Amino acid sequence: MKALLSMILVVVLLYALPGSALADEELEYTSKGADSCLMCHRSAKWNVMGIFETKHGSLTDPNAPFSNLQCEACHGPSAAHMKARNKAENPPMHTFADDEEATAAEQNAPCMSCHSGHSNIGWMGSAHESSDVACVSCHSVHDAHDTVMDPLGQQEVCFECHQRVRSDTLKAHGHPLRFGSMTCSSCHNVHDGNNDFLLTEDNVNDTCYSCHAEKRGPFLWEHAPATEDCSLCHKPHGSNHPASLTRRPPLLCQQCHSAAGHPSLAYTGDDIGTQPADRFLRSRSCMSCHSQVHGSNHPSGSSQMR
Amino acid sequence: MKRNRKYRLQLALAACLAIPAGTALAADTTADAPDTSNWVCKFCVVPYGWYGGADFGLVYVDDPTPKFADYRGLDDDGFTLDLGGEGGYRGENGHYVEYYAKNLALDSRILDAEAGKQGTYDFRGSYQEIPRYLGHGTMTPFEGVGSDTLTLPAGWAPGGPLAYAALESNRTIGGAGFTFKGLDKWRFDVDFERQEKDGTKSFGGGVFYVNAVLFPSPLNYSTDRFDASVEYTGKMLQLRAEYMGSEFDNGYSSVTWDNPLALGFGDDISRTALEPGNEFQQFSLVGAIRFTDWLKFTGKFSSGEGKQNDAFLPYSINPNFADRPLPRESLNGKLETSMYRLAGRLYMKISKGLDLTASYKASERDNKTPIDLYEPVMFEIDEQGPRRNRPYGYERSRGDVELRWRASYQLRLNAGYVMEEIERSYQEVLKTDEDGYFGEVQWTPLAMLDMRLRYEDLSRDASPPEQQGNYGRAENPLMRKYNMADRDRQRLTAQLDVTPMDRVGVSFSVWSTDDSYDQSVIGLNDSEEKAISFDFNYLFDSGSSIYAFFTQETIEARMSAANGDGATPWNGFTEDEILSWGFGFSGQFKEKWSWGFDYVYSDSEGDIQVIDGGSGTPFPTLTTELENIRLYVDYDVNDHWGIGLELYNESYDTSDWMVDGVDPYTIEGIFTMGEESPDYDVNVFRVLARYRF
Repeated sequence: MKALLSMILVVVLLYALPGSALADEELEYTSKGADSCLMCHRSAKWNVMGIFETKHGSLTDPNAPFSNLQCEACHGPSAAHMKARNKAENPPMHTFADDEEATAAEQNAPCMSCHSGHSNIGWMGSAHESSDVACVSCHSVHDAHDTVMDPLGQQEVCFECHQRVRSDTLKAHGHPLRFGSMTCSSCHNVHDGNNDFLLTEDNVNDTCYSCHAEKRGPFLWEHAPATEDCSLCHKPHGSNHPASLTRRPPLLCQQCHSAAGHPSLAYTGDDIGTQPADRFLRSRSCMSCHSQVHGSNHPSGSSQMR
Repeated sequence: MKRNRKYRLQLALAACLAIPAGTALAADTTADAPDTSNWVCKFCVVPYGWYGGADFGLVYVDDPTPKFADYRGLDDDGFTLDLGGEGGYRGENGHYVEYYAKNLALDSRILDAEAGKQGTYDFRGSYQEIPRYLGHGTMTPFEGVGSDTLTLPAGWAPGGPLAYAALESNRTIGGAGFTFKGLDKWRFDVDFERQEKDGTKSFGGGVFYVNAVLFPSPLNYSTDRFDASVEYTGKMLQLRAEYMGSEFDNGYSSVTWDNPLALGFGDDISRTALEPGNEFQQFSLVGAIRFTDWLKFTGKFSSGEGKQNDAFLPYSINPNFADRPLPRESLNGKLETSMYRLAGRLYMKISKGLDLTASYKASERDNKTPIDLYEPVMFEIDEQGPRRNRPYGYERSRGDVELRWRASYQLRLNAGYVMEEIERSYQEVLKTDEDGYFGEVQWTPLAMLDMRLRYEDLSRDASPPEQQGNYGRAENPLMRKYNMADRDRQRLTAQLDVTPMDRVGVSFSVWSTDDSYDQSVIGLNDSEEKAISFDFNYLFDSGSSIYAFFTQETIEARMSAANGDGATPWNGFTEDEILSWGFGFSGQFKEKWSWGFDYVYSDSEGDIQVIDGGSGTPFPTLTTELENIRLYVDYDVNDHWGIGLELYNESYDTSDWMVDGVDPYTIEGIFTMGEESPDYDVNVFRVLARYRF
């Protein structure tokens, strides 16, 4: 009952408070379309002509902006800008420049009018959308080569905000981003909030299985954390430790395995080179014997050794 | 507590799902559709025909090591061909071709191609190889490396001869796909991909009590994946139905190896199971709907099924156990997975920039694998008591509500509530509940200054732990495994972006995550990650640019353990410190010349200390130092031809007490492959001729 009353109260408040709708502002398109704009903006100073080397610049694709409203398909009706004496003080509706005062959602609206499908269906409510990331924050639609679509260039665009991940990729163990064998988009669909962490698959494990299918199972003897979340033991962007583990064994394993005997013994720096402690510390540590940490299908593999 | 969480979520969801008449999203500016019949677009110069080109030349590598060649494919000392290119064709009727090729003469080759008619259809194909070189001084006495039968030479005994064993693998990824977009609002996609991975990797096998043998295990994986989807994209509704099927096959079901540490009681030969083949298929429905400008939803539903039914190996290769009956011939393992998520957003009329977003996601891994009683034979000689397999399953639900207020262009505020509940089967903790709040402020007082601060405070409660039966090795009753222990988490992110002048960007960032497991007497007690970062870039009017970056990160953790119930706990401390920085320049001069350089440095240190009874000698510091210097120059000879030169040096220096100085006989009872931590200092010189169409 309390929940119901509170819900009613919230809804009533939403109805009752006064609105602040903007008055629609009637704008006009230019009389000559792109020719009006390019009369000034085709010079190298503006660096816009590269768009004709991209799919946006197609004159034959009926869905491309230059087959429709041309520049104004994205920048909005710009007749007022054309007529203005001081064009800097009367810019087009969207400049997409650093000093653009439109919100990210307003800037993205022209893009989403064509790109609302496919990988963008889950854009609304995604981490990037909620953080007011504009499409032009990552995409350079006037450049002949959009850097974010390039296998090596993409990560540099991502690292502009995700600087810590760049540091991760330089660590001793991790995925091969710095060699160009993978890109951020190999694992992430940055437009889709339906999947965990903007991943390409529903969750972390399913994304890992898309390349590491041998770990999918199900196995006869499963290792519980491996079935729950790969990132409980691995740092996928990079780590100081082999196999991108979060920590070194045996401490990594001893965080969960506490049975009396060798799993819970304290091994210190003094134990290096001493027997039998050395066998638990060096080489693969716990994984020298328990190598099947992702699961074993051997009927005698209950200890993940077979 | 639980009721409160759900109540808060229900409240917010209700607010979001309510349909208040008369609310209005910030009104878009509008204009009547123009008459475009006079839009000639005479300045729209589309460069039809072929573009791009091809690169061919030589790359010289001076004394590469496996670690340097890892992923790069530059494993040969001396000269190697270097082939690549990028370009395509653009036709006046919309037909196009695009290609991208890199390292075609190396083991790290990449080739992508796409062709079609823009807006109507396209075909695409791709091929990639990813080489791995993991052996750094690795040795083995085994014969038959690369196969599933590893034998010791006749008469070989511990202390006998060893041979270098390269641990190399190659992953090939081939794909093909087709898209048809010729029908208004409809799109059809079909993709097929095959991944193969062949080679060897180091693998361990346990032999008689806490002894082990590391051997080169064969890799012969193949994974086929098929994706198909149909999509409708309307103005109000977008909907996609997807099918994904995956089949993994392992060419080797097991590896049989002579035991160099055999005791002679029937453990002369051992057999290790390799990963069984599996199948997985999933159907998904993804959609978004915009009822009005002020109410939107997006969501996804997935339902999948996984199977694994490879024939079991016998309990032991030891003939003494040949008649030991298995409860079944194969696992008949089956997973049923499902996921649905719904997110909704309501733009409210209270203020122009105010909206409420709520999402709820539920997923399940329902493990239908049959449970049976097995009687393992450890180390091929030791009969274990009967035990049942545990098919782990999960149910997760996660919800969040976020109120966003774009008060003005200068000020944006977000605040919200998140919750997550996980139910587990066959585990010590059957349920965890986590919830908390977050807030974010973004303030842009000036066009040149943008500040963002985000803070999260989460608390996780675990249900009372229940021992699940440990078959002879009971966990300490005070153990709380960190993924299902009570936890308090505080997370802070701050970022400052400054653009003091046009074309200059400066960014400072700080991250901090502090996890406290204060109910865990045994287990992980706390962990903390902190990082600071600085970025700078400047773009000159000439198109030249300089950049610099710096990141420092610290990862710390403390854990407790005890050797037996009631014993005095000991503590383990780990600390990783990572420093990375770099700078570079790229520029042009006299139109035909372009050049640049990059410098990257990364230094990592890992310290571990275990304190038992008040003292404990720290472990030697783990270190990794990477330094990369690159210089490149390009010269355009004419409109079609150019020359490129590149020189780079990469040095890599590591020390790792786990493997340094450990040869196959160093550790009593562990027969290793003598792996060493890698060090190298490699120079690479590349000369390329570039042809442009």
